Amino acid sequence: MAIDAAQLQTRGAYEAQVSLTALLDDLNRIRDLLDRIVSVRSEIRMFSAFAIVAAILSGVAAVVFMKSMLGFAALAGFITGILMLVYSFFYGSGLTNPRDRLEMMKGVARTLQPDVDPQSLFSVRLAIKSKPKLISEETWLARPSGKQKLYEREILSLEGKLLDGTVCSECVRELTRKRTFQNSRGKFKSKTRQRYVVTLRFAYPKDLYGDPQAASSALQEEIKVPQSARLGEPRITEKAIVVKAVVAQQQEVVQTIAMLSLGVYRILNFARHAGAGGP
Amino acid sequence: MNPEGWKCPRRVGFLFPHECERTTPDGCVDCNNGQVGDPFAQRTDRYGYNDYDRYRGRNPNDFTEADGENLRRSRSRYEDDMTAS
Repeated sequence: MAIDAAQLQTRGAYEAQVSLTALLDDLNRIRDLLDRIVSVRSEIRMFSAFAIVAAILSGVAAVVFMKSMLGFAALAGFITGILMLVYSFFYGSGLTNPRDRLEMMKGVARTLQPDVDPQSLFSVRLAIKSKPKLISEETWLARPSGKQKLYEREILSLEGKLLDGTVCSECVRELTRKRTFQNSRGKFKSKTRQRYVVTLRFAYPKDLYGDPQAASSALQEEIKVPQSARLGEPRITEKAIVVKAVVAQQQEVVQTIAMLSLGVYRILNFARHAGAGGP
Repeated sequence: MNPEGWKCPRRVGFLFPHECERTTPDGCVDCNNGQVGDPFAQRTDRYGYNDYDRYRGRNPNDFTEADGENLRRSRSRYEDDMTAS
């Protein structure tokens, strides 16, 4: 599928119903597109610098040789250079930063790929350019004039069917805590901290897996997560298993998703064996 | 060279075992050209989940090829299922 830069910028997200192979191809195309934007932006800046230097030289020549035409050319060149410099900051703005999210989505897709039919379609959404939503604002009593704001934004979501018939839904949200306060010199300072909330839901076929609640109790194993992640209480119902974790480091999000999925399938695989007459 | 209609008997998968769809082990990244006997159980990329296929020393070796086929839902069944997302 062709990736349209203007469409990405307008919508602020990549949204599609695609196979995981097509998704990985699209993510590579988006990365190439971002690379092109960065390269065009640096070319614009180079031309702008050239125009400004040429304008200054023309200005000096106009004064030395008393040529008014050179003076006009210098003024026009200077204005053009400045306008190009300003334009370079707006060109593709907001689209050049989500490389880490592209890598995150790639990692998530690669984790699922071995257990998915190559033709199976997934609903995918990847935020390319999105503003965080303010979810709370309160006074922070630890510091004078302290304030604490919490922002949230969805980075990616993905839903599709695995080979065993389980519908897997994955979602990663970014939580930002911004604290502002006044220091002893009276200056306003701010501190920002980010966390990633990973939520996975596996709606399993009951006829295949039987009773995962009983299997989980019998297994008595904790789902493993990386060091920077904190696991929430897993929820096992008759229809689905939902697991949640808060991850401190962005580079551990994909690993967290893989480990949570493995932990859930430890239970499901055990439940299937138990249902088939004991593990 | 495998005979026509040859089916790989190995279990593959990252999260759960399922049958291998390949018609030849040549170039297979799961069994490394046929050198790995049980690619599902012998994966080493499970982030600290060693012995993923074992439960407290009990190895569920009762898994057969027929189980693998049971695990894999046919596409027609998936498409007939109107409640599927």
